[in-house]
Amino acid sequence: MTEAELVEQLSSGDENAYRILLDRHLAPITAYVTRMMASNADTEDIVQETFLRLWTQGTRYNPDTAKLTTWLHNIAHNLCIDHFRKHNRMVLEEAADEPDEQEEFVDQLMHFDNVKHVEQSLMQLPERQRSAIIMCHYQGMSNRDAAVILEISVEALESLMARGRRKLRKLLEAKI
Amino acid sequence: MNHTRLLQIINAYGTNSERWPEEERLAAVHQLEQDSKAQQAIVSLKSLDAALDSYVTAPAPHLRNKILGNLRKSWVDSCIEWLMPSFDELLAYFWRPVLAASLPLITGLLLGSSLFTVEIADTWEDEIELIALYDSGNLNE
Repeated sequence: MTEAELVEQLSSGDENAYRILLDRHLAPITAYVTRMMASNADTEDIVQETFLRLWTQGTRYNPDTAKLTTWLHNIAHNLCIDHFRKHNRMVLEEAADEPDEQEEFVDQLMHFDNVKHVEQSLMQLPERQRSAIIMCHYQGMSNRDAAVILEISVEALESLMARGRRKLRKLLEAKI
Repeated sequence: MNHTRLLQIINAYGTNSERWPEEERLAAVHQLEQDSKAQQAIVSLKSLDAALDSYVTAPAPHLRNKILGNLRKSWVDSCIEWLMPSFDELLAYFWRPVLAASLPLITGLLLGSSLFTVEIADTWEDEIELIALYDSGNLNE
């Protein structure tokens, strides 16, 4: 059964269809929110709210315009951004990026296994850079889908990711 | 595909060709085979991808039951949702407020019919009693 058919059944209150969709999408959405929020206490609330919206607003999903995973990531992404704004987290401006420098990355990083450092470094990126990297690197999302969620062009997405990765490299270098 | 574009792809998507844009992947891999500078870039950036890959998130199996538990709504939530349907349900959007507005009228009718009952003598004993009262009234005149 396709996801479009499952969502159609979901709109008529079919809990079995909802369970199937939940089992398919819970792990990737949880992983996305966890990385966006750095294991914040509100991570679970955001994941729950994302799937509650699938239940209550599933009729708004249009399978002709996006994959269900993109639609769910979009909801989760917007909830994360809302959360940051509500809690007055400083939204780093893109202009605040450090200048482009081509430095040699130390070999020690090859054996870098401190997950906490990676998590902290990701959190130091501007939200859009972090989100772009998480979607394309971890979530396996296509550049087009990620660009749709961030409401930018594919070229702008690539620029965001390149700047984000450059900054990450520097941050990780500084931590080891 | 040229050297500049290949470097753009490596800088944006990383060193793993599986993460490169699908429509450019074959050409990019072919370019990489003959591009020594791009190969150097791959070597220097591999450690960043290794660091990123080391960040694995833990699953949260308890969340599934929590989410399913949230589906059972309170009757208040159900009423609110019923009275205020989404704009997609155009028909429901019109008839539900009309139905909701008629609720006070229905309630009034029910209350009215239960509070103001007219006692009508309908048993034969009541009939005899009424006739007897009527007759005694006539005699007094």
